[in-house]
Amino acid sequence: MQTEIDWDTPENDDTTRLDVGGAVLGLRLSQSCYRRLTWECELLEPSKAASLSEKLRALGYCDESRFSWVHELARPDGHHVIIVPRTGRIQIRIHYLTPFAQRQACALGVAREIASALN
Amino acid sequence: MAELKLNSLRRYLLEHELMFLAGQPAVYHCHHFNLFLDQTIDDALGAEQSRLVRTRAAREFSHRVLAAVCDRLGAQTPPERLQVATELFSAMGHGRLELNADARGGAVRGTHLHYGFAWHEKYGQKVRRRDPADAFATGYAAAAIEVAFGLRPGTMDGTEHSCFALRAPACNIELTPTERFEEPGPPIGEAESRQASGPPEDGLYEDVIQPITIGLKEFTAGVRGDERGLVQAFGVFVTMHLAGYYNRISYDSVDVIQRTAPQSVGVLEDLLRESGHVCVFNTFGGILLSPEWEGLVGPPPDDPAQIVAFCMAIGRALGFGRWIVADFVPERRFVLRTPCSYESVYYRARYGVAPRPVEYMLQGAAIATAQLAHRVRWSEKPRLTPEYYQELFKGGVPWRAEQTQAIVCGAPVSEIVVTRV
Repeated sequence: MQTEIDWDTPENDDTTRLDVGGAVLGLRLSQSCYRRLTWECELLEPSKAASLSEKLRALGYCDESRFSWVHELARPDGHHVIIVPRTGRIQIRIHYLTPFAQRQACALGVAREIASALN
Repeated sequence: MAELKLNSLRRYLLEHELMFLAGQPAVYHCHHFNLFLDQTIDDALGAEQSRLVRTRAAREFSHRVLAAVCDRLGAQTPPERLQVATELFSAMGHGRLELNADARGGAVRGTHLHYGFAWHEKYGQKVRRRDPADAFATGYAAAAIEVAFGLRPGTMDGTEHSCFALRAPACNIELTPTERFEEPGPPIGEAESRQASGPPEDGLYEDVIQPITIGLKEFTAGVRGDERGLVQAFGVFVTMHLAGYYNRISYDSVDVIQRTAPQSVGVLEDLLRESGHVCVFNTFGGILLSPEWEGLVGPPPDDPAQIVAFCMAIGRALGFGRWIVADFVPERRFVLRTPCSYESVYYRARYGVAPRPVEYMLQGAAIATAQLAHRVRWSEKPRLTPEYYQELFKGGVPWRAEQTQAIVCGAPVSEIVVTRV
């Protein structure tokens, strides 16, 4: 069965701010052609971003990185976190089988996990 | 039979930066380019003739690549060859095919077919499509049966009866032995590509371009279709595609229009050039804004010279040829030169010498590179939306491109001079 697309929900560019135990993280939709599947966190300090990989691994993420310059970590449910150590960029890629209406909530869940790991 | 590993079948002619899949010319293009080019052929020829042209082009070049891949992997029996065909199709990012056919024809079911699926994603909300979108998959499936059952190229026909782009749950294709056998054209492989290429040379910023090219090639070496047979990367759906398909549908369409409506050739050629804008804006732009690029190179700066150099590296890594910056003066001039392009290789092999430059994608890509370099504020990380494309490219770009040398016309290199209007 192919992915059903819900056309009625508009995209938006708003940044959502998460405060998890004092760690504040902004989350917004990324530029991409996939509907609500790619999300950007606000930039972290590069040192924090570099250590995030290890912390996510400890939470059960699988390290699928092929290169040292971009880390790719897979959550057991198929969502991915992409980390650029040199700039502190973090991108969340939601698994494409996630129903459209749940994609934002899933991204927020992953972002909360990231914020929590940064505490 | 050996396991299919896409990367071990992929090879670049390093000095010319042309890419080959089991010896057949191949390139990477995104769904925006693929849909735009197919639509251009539809608009030029009408839906039915376009379907025929696109299906035959897909069948011809798919037959060549499938025969070569089966040979390399030692796939000898029909089941083995059918397995190779479906695995290769998915690995290249074209979706999933179930081939239930033999030499007498049969049925094919497709899911997540690149063209239909991507069309539905891009346009499905706004436009109701009337004709199936998957001529490439149809021609590929026909070729798969030809190769699996040892049939001559061009003996199996296909028709897509239902399509995801038409809101069907899946795509269904019927294969039948053809009554309109088509003799395949002359081969276009590595040898022909070398023959049609000029001497490679270095341009400006090679110390920037070359390491990035290598890094991008290493990255794309690991790119292959996911469980759906689709490649989601750089914010777009990417395909590894057969250059012969793009070339044949483009030049066959120009031929038809030249015969039937010569006054409209210019319009068609402009649209073929625009495919270069679409490619550079979406694929090159998507790559520049991706985390992978940011990790490899750093965030793209608001510096036209650097963006131009980056675009040369991307063009090379996608298999478009050894693009060099022959000259660059910000806000005034950009000269792109290459000893080959996937268009020139095809044209020289199929047509010989052209009376005028016809490397349409290359011409459009050169203008789009100048526009992206000067008009996009990369530091603001813009979203590459259709609206932004319209803003940048519609209503006239402030650049004029002149192809001053053309391999298709017998020159050793192709050169596009882009100047500020």
